[in-house]
Amino acid sequence: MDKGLYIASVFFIFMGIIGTWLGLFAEISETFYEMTGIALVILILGIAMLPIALFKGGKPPVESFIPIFALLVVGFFTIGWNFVVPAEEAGPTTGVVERIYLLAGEYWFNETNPDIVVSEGSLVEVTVDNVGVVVHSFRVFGVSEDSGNILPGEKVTVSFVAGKAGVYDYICTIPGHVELGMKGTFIIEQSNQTATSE
Amino acid sequence: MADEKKEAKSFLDKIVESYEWTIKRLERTILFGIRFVIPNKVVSPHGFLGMLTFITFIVLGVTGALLMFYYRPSLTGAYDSVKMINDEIDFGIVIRNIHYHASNLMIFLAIYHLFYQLFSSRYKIRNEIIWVTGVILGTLTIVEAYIGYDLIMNIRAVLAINIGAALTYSTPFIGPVIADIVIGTGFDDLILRIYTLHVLIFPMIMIILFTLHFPRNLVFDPGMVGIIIGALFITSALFPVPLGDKYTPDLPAQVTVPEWYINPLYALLRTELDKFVMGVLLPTLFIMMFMVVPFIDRSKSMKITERPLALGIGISGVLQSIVTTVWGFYVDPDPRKSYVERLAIDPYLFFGVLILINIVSFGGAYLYSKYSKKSPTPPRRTRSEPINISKETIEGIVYAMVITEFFVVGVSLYMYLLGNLTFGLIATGLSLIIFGFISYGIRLITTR
Repeated sequence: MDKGLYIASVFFIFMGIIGTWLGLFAEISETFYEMTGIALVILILGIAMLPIALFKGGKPPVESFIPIFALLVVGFFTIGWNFVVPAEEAGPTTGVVERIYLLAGEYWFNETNPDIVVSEGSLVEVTVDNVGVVVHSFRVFGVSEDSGNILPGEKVTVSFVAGKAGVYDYICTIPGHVELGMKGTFIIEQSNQTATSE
Repeated sequence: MADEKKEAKSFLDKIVESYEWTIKRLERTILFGIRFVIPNKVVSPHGFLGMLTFITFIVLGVTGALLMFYYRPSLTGAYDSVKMINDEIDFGIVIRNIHYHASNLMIFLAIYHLFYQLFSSRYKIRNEIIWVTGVILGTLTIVEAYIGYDLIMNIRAVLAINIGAALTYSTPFIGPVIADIVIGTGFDDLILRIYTLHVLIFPMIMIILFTLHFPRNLVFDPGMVGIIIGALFITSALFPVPLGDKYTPDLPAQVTVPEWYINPLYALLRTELDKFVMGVLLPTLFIMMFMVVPFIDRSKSMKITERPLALGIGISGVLQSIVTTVWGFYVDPDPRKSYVERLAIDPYLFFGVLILINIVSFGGAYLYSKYSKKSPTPPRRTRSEPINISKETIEGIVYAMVITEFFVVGVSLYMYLLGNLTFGLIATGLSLIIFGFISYGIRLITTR
């Protein structure tokens, strides 16, 4: 066993696991995604070096497998778990589809930023039609993904499952547009089925 | 090298003869001025990390040359040509992915190489010039990669260009001169110039510096090279690099981060203190710190635990690099906040953490070396038990691996024929890794 190489490869595998988790699954910040490329390179480099570190020169001592076991556990609970349980409880939909049509202009949604009310577990499809002259976007903060840039004259549909009941904001994520008024209330009501079953 | 078996048949004799003929003639060239050492037993890749970095450099050269066939260095054509390489050109996406991941791997291996040499204090054995040129080469590698991803002209690239331009203009005296040379009058000039720098001038400078950096004995281990390149191919297949959004001047500012190797710099800039100090002076000082290590670390010992200064520099260097890189990637995800608010990093917190890292690593290194001097532990020579596998078993495993190799190569070719590039590349990478293990297996058989 080569001690220096062993320490380096265990360190690299650990860094690779944490980096991949931050990049793909942690949902702390979207920009961590850009870290995934180098994290995978470090992870695979560590995995490639580990057998040489372990078996170079003779049998590895038994205790050298303890950190590797710990890495497997860490790897499973950060990365592997996402494959075992693919989606969170956002999955169970009631099958109800709610279609919402929004106009986006300077600087409003449907001129008055109306409240949008949907029921819990429904599949929401929001179509945003940019009738203005500058770029806009749409996102229900904490519920949906960002629509990305919607150019003037473009129509984009954002679909998502209305998860936990509560009061959220729907906004335009272009910097400065929220301050100018592109912000409304998005309410997810508790559906009747769950209400009666309680 | 020429220890071929004597009982070879006449046909083999001829091959051996022509091999020896070629070797004798090659001895007249500069090639044999460099001694390539192919190790005859399994060696740690720590001994030839520089060689692995150079192999990655060659991979980058080959894939980069292929990309040059289709890339157009102009403001209007750059993004579209990269998109064409990605979507339309046969194997374009494969080549581009390998080029991207190889750039990551090369920088990572170079940094790994630096820290390994620092911790094992190789610069003490008359290697000071090799050390200094190595630090310069590492910096050049990062700059080369940085101008490389600027060439795509997506939103990330323009962010990086803006950072670079702002830093260049903020540098007193030489800044405007460099800006005149590199940036010219606008994006169109800039793209053409950084393209020339990326594909010709920087690689040339690097190749010239290699003559001052390469030691005379080069360890070349085909097994590890196969494993590393195979791992690189598999990474490229599993994680195709996204193309990003095309930069157009009317798009609003998007929250994005640069590549990881200039992310520490981005984190420093986001503290919103003076641009020149944060973006130019501090990184230069950080690089200079590594450059002067051989000249300030005068202790006679080769053991890292007896050299607290080098140990402190090493640990604080590793920790500061990791913390600033990861911190640079973090952007507050709340889109209701303004762009500036989301990007801002609290300078007190940031530099507090960095100073804490320095105190802990230098203090820890001094305490550790002091403590370990007080109680001198005799070097424990724990001889690990040899692995007793019979020669027949190893031979069996090697034969099995050779058969698997043929199968995997066949699968990869078939996948390319079917047009499934992802699985094809994974199979190619796997075949390279198996090749590496076969080479290790043969080494185990021959050293018995």
